[in-house]
Amino acid sequence: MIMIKDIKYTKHGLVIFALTVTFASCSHFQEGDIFEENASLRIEHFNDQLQSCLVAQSSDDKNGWLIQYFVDSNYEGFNLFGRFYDNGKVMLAGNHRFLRGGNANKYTESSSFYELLKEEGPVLTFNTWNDILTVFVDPVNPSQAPTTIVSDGEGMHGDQNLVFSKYENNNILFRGERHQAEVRFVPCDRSWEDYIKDTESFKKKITSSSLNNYYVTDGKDTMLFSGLNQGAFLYVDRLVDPKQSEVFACVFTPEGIHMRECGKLGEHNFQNFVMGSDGRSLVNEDATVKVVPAWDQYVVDCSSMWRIDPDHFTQEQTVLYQQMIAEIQKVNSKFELDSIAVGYVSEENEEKELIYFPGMILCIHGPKKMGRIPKYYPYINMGIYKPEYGVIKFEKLTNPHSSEHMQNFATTNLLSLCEQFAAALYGTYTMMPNDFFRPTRVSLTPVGAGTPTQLRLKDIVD
Amino acid sequence: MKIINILCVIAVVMFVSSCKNEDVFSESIFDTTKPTVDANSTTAFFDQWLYDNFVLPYNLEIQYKLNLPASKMEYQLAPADYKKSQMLAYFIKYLFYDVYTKYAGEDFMKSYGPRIIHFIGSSASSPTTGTEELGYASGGVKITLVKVNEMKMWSPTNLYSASDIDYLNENQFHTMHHEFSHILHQTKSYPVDFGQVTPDNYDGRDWQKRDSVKAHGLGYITHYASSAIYEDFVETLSCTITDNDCRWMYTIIDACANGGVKKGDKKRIYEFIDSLGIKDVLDDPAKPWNKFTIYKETSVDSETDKTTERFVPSFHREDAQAHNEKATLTYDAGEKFSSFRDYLDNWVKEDNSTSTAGMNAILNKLDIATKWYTEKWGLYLFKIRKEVRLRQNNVNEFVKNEVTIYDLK
Repeated sequence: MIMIKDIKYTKHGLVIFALTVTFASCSHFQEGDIFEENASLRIEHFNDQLQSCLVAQSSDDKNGWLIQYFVDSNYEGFNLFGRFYDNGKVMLAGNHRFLRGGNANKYTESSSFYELLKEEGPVLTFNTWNDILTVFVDPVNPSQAPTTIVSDGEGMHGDQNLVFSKYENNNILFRGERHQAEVRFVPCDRSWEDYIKDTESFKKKITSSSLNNYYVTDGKDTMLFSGLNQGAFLYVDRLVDPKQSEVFACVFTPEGIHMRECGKLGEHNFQNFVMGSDGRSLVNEDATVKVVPAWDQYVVDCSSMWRIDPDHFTQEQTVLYQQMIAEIQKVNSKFELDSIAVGYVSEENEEKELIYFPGMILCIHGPKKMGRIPKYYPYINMGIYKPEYGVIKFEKLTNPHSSEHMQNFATTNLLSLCEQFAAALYGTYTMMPNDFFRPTRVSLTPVGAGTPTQLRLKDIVD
Repeated sequence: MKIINILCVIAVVMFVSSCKNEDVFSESIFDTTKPTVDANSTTAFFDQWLYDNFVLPYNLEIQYKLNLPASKMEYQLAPADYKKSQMLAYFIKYLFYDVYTKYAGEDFMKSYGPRIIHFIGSSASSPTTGTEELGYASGGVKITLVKVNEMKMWSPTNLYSASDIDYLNENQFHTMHHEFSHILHQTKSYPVDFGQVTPDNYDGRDWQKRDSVKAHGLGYITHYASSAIYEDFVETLSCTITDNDCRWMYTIIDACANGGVKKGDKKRIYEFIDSLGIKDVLDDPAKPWNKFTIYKETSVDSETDKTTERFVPSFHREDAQAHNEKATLTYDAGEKFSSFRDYLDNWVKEDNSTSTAGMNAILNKLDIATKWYTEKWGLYLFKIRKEVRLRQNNVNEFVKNEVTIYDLK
């Protein structure tokens, strides 16, 4: 038993040396003359100071503790909140997705007991069940939780016994006794509700489900964060068949992100990122590493169709657009041309597989029929490339493909008008988004020949 | 997703040599000379109740706050819910300590009761072996109870039902009686005769591979009883106290299905049923033991092609299939029974073989165990069962009138 314990438990042997650290910023940590005391007494006195510190930040005139709780990198980090009282009571709160009893993702509070143990070092334990924290410890299959609670003997590998690790910049760092959960206590600078609201607002500002890849660069090397909005994401050199790949977890804050562990790019380290002064990137602690959303790839990938903004049409484009409308209404007078877009359309091949073709697409809809609005996407095939960061290139394909939808308008002059419109578009452009993290409009400035254009995201029927 | 094949285990670590001295438990391992309850603690009210009801009278510490370093490291464990811990503590007093105190006197539990009962909120499952421990004991001093958080929280509109009592029995009190019986036999040894009833079929390694029909047919009261003599002994005691009527009747039907009923045993079985307190409902047609089918099972082993046959009651057919995945099993149309008496009186044939198995073995072991219980401890096993069942039937009134659940201060 002893051997097993030794293997699985964090070694506390060195922790005792940490107890001589000065906790200047927290007035409850006084550097007393404890160096001469034996180890047991030192831990006891340290625990007293630690509890005083936890309780002091929990007084009514303060906002308690933000607890950044990481199980391992398979899961996102969780923002929990806590107030500690002298009598052993702790009130935790959170709004994470593993809350049970129908409370998933809802702000929930739960009180329980805490204790500071004297083991081989100071240990903060939450040793009665707490709805907010103990779900990370419970050996329940996390893929089915919280809707279905099935014991699997493992759970998420969270810890309820937290070994004191470090006091740094008013933050208290703990490490899980059994599974090495990383837990950082930060004095909360605002009400918990505001912290949650501000964090969600910031997260929404910098991530979306569709634009979720980010360049990580120090000016020399570039890597990628992929899937940042999940809170557990990949750090890779490239998205397809990466040679370097690491999994990171982070918590979002009202100003940025805090990662479970320190990452490295070249000679630079990073763990915390906040929004840069230009609003175009996140920057790390010493401003040596930037996280820049891969907005340009997002535009080029066209996971959403980008409309060519008619407000920025040239006179020639406006004329062509009017002529297209006239040709379309020759087929059905109630058809409307909603917009012209660049993007991808899918068609089935002979094997009934979906094939995607890049192109310039006309977005046409007809009158509502049996409760549905028929939509047509005649298009001409057009190459869409990203030659370099922030640059897009539209290119005429030598073997153009024309969709079945275009066949619906075969009796009209629509194909020719499309080709004329596209001809004005072919070329290389530098791009400038209205928002680097969640772009909805992109200005295209031609490099050499071409027409200044603006792209925008818009549903086909509002 | 990992699929856990849950097998219930009640484990015990025995330190027999440390339990020979009967006085060994009378010394307190806690300092009871001064108040140990921190009146300012958020849990002070409950702690005081524990102190008054367990520490002072029984020298017992109920550790409802998870003591992780003192727990089994092979399991991922979560702490118990504070309010459910209070419920369980009250039940331990009412359904366990008060019962023994009533029949064995004030000093009995003080002398022989465990010194620590540790509550774990979660199950104790091993993802590697697929087994789940329902509790465990260490050195006759500490009993660990798991799955406290799965207990139902009583309220005036959420009363305890028979199935809730069954849950308590299966997950907490069977363990309590099992582990306590270990303490008793480590203090006063059980007769050597007990191990001679079915000496050849104990299997410490693969007992869990036996299905219910097999284990009962061999003369063991549970699968786990077939793992070792001392486990058989304490299972015999604990099942007699905590198994409900249905579980017992199923055991009897299983243990009679494939021989193992000697001349005169049928009378003994009816007497045993009376002792269990089932007599009044034995012939109730609504009871499941009066409505079952006996199938003839043919099993062809996929590796050896060996064919074996046996009778399997309908209520354990799924259990048989789950335990015999490597064999091809077929069942005949079966013979339906609408009364247990018809089954025992007319269908069960007397076994004239010289070997001891099935119900004959179980009855013989029960005779030895109950005699030991009375001679060594002055206790009557069936009286304990009756008292426990009476209290369980009264549990809603008990909680309503006697239980105070404290919030954190």
